[in-house]
Amino acid sequence: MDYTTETQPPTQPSPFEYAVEVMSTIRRRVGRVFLGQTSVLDQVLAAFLAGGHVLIEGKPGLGKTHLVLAIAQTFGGAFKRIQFTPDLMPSDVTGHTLYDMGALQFRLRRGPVFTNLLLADEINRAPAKTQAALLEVMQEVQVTIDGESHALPPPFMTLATQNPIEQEGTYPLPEAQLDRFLMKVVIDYPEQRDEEQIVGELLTGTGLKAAEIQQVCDVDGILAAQRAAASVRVTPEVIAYAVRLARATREAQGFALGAGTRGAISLVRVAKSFAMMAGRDFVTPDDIKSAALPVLRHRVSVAPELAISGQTADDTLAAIVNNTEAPRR
Amino acid sequence: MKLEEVTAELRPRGSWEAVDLGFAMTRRHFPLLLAAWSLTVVPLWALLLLASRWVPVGIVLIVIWWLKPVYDRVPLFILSRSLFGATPRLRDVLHAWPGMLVRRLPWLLIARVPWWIAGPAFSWARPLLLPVIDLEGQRGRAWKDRRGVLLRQAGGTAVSLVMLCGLYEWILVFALLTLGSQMTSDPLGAFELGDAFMETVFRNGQMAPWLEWSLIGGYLVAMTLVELFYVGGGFGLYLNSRTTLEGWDVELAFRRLARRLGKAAAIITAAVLPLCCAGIAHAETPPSREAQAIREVLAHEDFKVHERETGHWEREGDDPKPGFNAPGWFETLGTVLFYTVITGLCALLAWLIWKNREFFSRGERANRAAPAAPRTMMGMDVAPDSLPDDIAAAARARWESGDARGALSLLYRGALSWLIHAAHAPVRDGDTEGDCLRHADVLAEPVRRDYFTALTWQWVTVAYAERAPAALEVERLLGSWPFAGEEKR
Repeated sequence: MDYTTETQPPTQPSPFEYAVEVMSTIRRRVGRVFLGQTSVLDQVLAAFLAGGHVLIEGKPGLGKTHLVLAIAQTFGGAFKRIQFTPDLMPSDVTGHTLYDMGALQFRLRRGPVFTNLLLADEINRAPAKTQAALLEVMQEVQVTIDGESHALPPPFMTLATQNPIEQEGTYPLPEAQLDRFLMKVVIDYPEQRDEEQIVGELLTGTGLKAAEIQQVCDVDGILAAQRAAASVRVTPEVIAYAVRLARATREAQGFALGAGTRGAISLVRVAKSFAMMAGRDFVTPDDIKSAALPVLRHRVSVAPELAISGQTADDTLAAIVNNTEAPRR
Repeated sequence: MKLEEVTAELRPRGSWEAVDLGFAMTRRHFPLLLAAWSLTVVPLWALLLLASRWVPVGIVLIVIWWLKPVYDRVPLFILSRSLFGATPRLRDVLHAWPGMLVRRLPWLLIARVPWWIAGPAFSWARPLLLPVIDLEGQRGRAWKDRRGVLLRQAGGTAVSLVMLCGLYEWILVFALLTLGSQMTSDPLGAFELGDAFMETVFRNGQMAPWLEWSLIGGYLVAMTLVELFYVGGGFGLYLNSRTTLEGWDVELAFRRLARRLGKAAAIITAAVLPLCCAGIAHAETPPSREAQAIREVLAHEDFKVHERETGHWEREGDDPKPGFNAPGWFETLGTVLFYTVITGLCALLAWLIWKNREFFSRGERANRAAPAAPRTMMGMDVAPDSLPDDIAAAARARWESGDARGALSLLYRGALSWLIHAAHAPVRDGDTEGDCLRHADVLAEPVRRDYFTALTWQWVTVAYAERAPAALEVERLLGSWPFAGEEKR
């Protein structure tokens, strides 16, 4: 929520103001190619700022690849995509060493995880071992091949997608591994007007392509923005509010499993990003509230008796958020 | 009844084979059955549905369902007469229809429920027992005896037939509706159709008229198609039971034999008759060996009519325990225990419902009345009686004493109090500053809305950024308090 009524143009932008400007520009430029999905874009950018990873759930053909490619383009970062399949091996993700007959030595062949933005398409199609390899990379931000550790180039973010339509032949991620994702973003079809614009631009060729997006900053600019987001002020009352929300999910009758402490930490991290993207250097309860659904929905498990009646995690979470008293100093 | 004119092959069959015979009879006369149904039952439905202008459509549908035994009389009338080669014309059916409508109607309607007046089995074995009422005209003791015999013979199959036809009727309803739904631009799923049907029955007037009438139409079409075969199957069972019990097939065989042999039979009869008379005369001298043999045969286990009797053992005589034969207090204790258990179960049920109230109230939350205005909001007391009479003056006093935070807090509390109590915004416990601002955006006029926005921004800056507010801005807020006199309404 933007409370500001007037803004004064800064004479000499501070690092924080510069970071705000960078993110605002990125948001504007990516928004031009990723039409009609403003909240999805905000959530992905917030996760990127917070240095987290995103699990995206949505129907195929809604521009997920487009989004990641566009973000990578804005800071001149590298982008790779892995299509997860049942026969995908861990080394196909992380990389492996090969013996080079010419040079008479082992040579490292780096896997697709050596990138800035990684799109892991249909992660639940791969068996648990391969999923675990990727999730370990996400957690450690480094890869160990033949006993040697290789750090991934910062910034590193994984956007994993799950196809909600097909469940046949899939390996759903266990709750403990889902917890590694900072957010779960649900992507739905755009509004009629936006969809018309997408179709029209595609047919006439007038639309901006992801590869044509002008670079906003370099990798250092993104790292500076991430540092600025981390420096956003949070009062103890706001932290208590985030913890109260996470604890409420554990006490709610509608959930068989509630969010852990990592959930509360993630809430604050994402809220800081939201605050920075709104131009504030402090977090308000509204930021926590905005982060609650995407941060908590994959960390809870709906009780079977409610799941069978069609209730989703979002329904119960929304009720919890509405009924948990907001903080006040 | 002329058995020799029967058009079906009568022989003892298995129960489901008999049902199949009934279905075959229905198939054979289907055009006539359908035409008769359309001219008798369908107009009755039209009249009943006309009543839905004044009566909830759910009640009309229940009445339509309740009158099923009356409709069953139409196919039964046709099938029973067709069996004996006297297939009625439509005119005959129409002529008989008023009689079908009124004949023993109260009894039939009461008998829809498993009640002792009609016998608990009637509602579960109606296709088998309806011919006893309609064709045989049995009543009282004769009806009970006949019912008992038929149920022993084919009761299980009749109940299965009722259940299968009921199930098939609903499958057909949803199949028809799903098919129709697929033809539309916005097809509904099976569960949505189920919900829609329940809405039609229980919540009159809340459905789109086209959907409501499609659901009713689908149900009536399915009932028409299934009911004709249902009655046919039951009639087949009834025929088979009587064939087996009364030896209709044997009688028919004798009659055909008699017809074929003709005169020869008369000669043989004339020759044998004296011998028979002698035999009869001999038989009249009691007690004969034959009579004794018959009695022995009838005394066999196979001819015994079994009746179930229930009872209980009572201990008497030997070794009574002292004090145990005090039936008065023991009975009282039992009664108390019984009611205690019942009360406990009711309490348990109530507790379970209360504990899982979220499950029952899902989706109803939005329909509930707005909750009472909160007294505290985000940890601040926003009740009118907790605020000073002149909020702006009190806030200025705090500001001038150096308590900037206190001044803004008081202004914000006053603004919230106005939002809740004067503007009647639906504010909840979990609402944040942003939510309150959204309420103000909707409810307040531009001056107050702008003031609320500026105040909120100053307040969150003080509260969460822990920064002192700009003096100029606070002065402006203090000087332009727009809720004077209304914040405590």
